[in-house]
Amino acid sequence: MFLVPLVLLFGLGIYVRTIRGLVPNVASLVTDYSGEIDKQALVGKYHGKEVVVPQDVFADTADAYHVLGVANPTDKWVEVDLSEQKLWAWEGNALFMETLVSTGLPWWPTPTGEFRIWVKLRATKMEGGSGRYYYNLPNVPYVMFFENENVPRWRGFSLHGTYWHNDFGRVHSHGCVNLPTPMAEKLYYWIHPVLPEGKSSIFASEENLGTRVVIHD
Amino acid sequence: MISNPWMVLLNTNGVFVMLLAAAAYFLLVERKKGELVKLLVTVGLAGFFAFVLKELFNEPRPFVIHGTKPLVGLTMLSSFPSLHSALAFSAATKVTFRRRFLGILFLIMAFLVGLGRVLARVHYPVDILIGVVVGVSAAGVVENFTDIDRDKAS
Repeated sequence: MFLVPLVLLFGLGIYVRTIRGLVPNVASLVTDYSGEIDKQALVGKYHGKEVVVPQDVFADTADAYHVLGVANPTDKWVEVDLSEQKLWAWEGNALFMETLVSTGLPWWPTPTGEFRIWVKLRATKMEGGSGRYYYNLPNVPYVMFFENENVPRWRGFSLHGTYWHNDFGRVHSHGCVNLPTPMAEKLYYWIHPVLPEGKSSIFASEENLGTRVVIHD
Repeated sequence: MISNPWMVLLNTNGVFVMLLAAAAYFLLVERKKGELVKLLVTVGLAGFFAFVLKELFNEPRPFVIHGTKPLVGLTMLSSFPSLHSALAFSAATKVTFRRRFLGILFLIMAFLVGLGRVLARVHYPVDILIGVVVGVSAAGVVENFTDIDRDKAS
């Protein structure tokens, strides 16, 4: 009789483990690629707690940055070090910026490898997790999605600004690379694809390639 | 309550003190090596099972998820189920099988360990609940199997 709960728990454990192994982790589910700020959405939800979207997320920042005409866009690349929880933006050998970040928790690891930015959005709603780890965050600012052949777009990995925690330097996310919002803003206007005049979001294309992102342990 | 150093001790290494106390009882008071072996097998089974479940479910701990600091130690394994509760309740149940009154004291201690680990943000209540199930079941399994042996022998 006492064996029954032990066997049931073990079976459930095997089941949960198998399902998790079969379904790849989706860092964030994004359905709106317009990049528009949703001025009505002022409250987000993160792990059962409500978070108010701060005002700086809504700031109109585009005019503060003139388009940075760099001679050779292929010189730019972004380096993320998972063990140090740091990000560097390089132009050749010159450091453009450096910041602490928060990457994926051990349960939702940030993938390593070489990626390219495929779209950048001034703001978007992100949803993900389940049960007590569910989150629904409107107006995530300065989102730069990256992909490669192993990590396709639908898995939703990105670099982005963060208003729901201040834990930079330690892992915290569902797989994305969380930057302090001012740092994300600086990176957003520097990184490729280049924003055309008057637009605040852009998909990468053959003529307007996304910057390389290298993530390593 | 949890900031009290005694509570921190109870909810970190206190469980081992409990296990030692139970072992000392069987060895020094009852002076029955057979019971001591049963206790060790019980605690070993509960610990092994809780460890395997932790590895299988691999659930993050509450303080990790909320970006806060844990208030007590021994948090390197995953959250579900509680190894502390499984160990404490397996030993307490084993003692209860032999001595009702002493067992109840152990069960209260085990409950405090579980409660403290929730208050210290290292466990969710459900982790404790399943830890209790694992601990009590392990003790029950060991008791049942050893009873069968005794029946055969007599």
